[in-house]
Amino acid sequence: MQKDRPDRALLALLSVVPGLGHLLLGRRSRGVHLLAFAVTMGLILFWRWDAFRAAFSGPDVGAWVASLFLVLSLAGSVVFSVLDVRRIRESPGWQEPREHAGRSPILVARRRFAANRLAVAALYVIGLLYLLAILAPLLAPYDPSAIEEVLKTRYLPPSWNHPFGTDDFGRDLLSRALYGARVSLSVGFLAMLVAISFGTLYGAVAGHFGGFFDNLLMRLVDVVIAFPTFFLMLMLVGIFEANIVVLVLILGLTSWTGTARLVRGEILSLKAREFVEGARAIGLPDRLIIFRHLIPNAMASVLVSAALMVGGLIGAEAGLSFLGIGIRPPTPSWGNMLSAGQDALLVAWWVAFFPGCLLAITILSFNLLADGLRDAMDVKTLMRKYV
Amino acid sequence: MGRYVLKRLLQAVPLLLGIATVTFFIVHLAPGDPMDMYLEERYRREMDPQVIELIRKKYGLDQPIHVQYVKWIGNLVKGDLGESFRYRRPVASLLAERIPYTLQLAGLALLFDALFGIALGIVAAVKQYSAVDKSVTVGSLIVYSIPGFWLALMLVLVFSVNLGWFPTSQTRSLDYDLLSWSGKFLDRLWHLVLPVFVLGVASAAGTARFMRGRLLEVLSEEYVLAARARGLRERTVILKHALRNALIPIVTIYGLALPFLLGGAVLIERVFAWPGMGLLAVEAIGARDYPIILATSMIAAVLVVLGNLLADITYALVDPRVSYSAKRPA
Repeated sequence: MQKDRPDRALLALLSVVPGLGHLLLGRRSRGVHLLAFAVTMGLILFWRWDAFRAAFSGPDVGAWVASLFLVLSLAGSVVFSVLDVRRIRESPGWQEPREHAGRSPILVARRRFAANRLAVAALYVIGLLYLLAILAPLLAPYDPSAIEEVLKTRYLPPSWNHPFGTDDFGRDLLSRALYGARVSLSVGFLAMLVAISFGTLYGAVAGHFGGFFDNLLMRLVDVVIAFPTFFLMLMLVGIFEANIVVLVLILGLTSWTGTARLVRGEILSLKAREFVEGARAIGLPDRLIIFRHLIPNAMASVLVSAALMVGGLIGAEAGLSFLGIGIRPPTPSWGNMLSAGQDALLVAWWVAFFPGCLLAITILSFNLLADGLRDAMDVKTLMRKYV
Repeated sequence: MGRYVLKRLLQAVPLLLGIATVTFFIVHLAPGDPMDMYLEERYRREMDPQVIELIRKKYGLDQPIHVQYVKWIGNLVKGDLGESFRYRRPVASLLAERIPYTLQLAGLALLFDALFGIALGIVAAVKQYSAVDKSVTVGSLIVYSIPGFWLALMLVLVFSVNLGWFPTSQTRSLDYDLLSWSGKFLDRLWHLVLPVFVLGVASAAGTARFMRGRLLEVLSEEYVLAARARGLRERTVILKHALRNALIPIVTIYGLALPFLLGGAVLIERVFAWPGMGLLAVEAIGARDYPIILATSMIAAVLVVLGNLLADITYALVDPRVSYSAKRPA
């Protein structure tokens, strides 16, 4: 061990290559991840150099964000790598076996999660999908809305040039699916943030104050829960002209009830615990008790329901867009691509096939992730059909 | 028992009132007033403001909001859901035509779920960790994650377009009227296969997972151990002692499944051009037919409340531990 230890200066130099320093120090997992990430990003940069340079002078904000993300993540991985290697070197006892590293709840949960291969695989898939979505402008082989010689290029079956085929306007479906991922994944994620924030706050307030107020708030939840969520979404989308922001709000504000019930339940059991009584005894205001003590302790179950919810919301957005009332063409989303796919079902199966596969893989990954998180963090109180 | 049912019915009343109230407020939260919904922009500009005022008066829109609210609730109690802008017909009668189609789909999907979901769950639990169990647990999660409407499209592609085994859409064939009585029945059934399968399979996947978990839980109870110790055959232990207790919570699960089924039915109805209330709602959104949009959501919610009520009552019937009186035994 001692004689293998690389020289300090050499290590500092090598750690400029993301992950290399970690590998030399024996931190294999982190090293491999950093190295793989940096190499992938570097290859994309090398491969799409022209698109990358054009992005900064072009008018497309999405391409600009993608290029910026590429540069920042490369730079970030170098900086992180150097700093982290130094941190590890300077921390006492870094050479000792890691099994004794600690038994905090977070570490225990992390170890249990890592043992669940399906869940870990799902996490990688989700990470990859979001990466593809962010980098779509650099990765897409064609312009997703370019319409050229329609008669020559429409409904081309999958081939090397068009791996997913082309649609009725002769647009490349792989490019559209990549751009569609941006819309579908971000709408799902943002709507989840809206629902989780609102639901957590609502449940925490109801649970903390209790009594008549709690009763009133929870009866309102009963009423909202009675509406089949998808019908509620239909009704709201039908009444408010839905652009993408309104759609996110509608999706979010129809999905918070489960979280509210969940959080309220957690808060009610937390309230009886000593640390909350202590907080109250020293006269902390309600605001601090709720935000510092109650909500952080309910976070585990919130996280699980968040993971479940993203999958459901991505499905809901796809459903609404499939009905022609969510994301409207020409902006591609997986849902409205499926809608076009139904019209083309008799002549071109690939139009509906590929976006649906991506959708199913995404939702499955989020469900597996949620299952893994639930088992890892020992959350039992989820209201869900399969428990 | 009668008193318990009555009590649950009375508890549902405020919930129904709440549903109507939420719908009312959503209408009034919308930009503009219902007049804007009723008249399209171009007509509005050309019309005499006095005429608009007259129409406003006719529909009671000149009244203060609490008066409108009371009137709205009063109309609902009388079963008056307003008039469709597009069809110029009472919404209630339109819904009465469409709801049976949706209930047909949802009911048969529930039946499918009950047959296959429960059976697969039992098999998986009894043969825990076997190949069957693993394929049920993994397969159900996959099926659960596939969007129903996409599955429907793919099944249509394979079984209707390529193989020609099932019709692609509609509730009956073109020559339906010429068929004999039994031919009519078979024709309807033939059209139901794909939509019911798609709607039921996701729900059955959820049930299978739930059933497996419940049965495993029950199988580790002491009374099961006792039954085994008495030398009963494994068959008897599972079917008579464990299964009964594991089945009870399934009732509640079916109450919870209804919103998912109704929501999923909207998309399935669209794929199969099935004239249920989901399709009615979707068409109404395209035509900006607000009374129908509101009524379908509200009726869907009412159906859910009734479904849960039915589940609660069934639960009380099958589970002797639920007491019918207000106070529960300790």
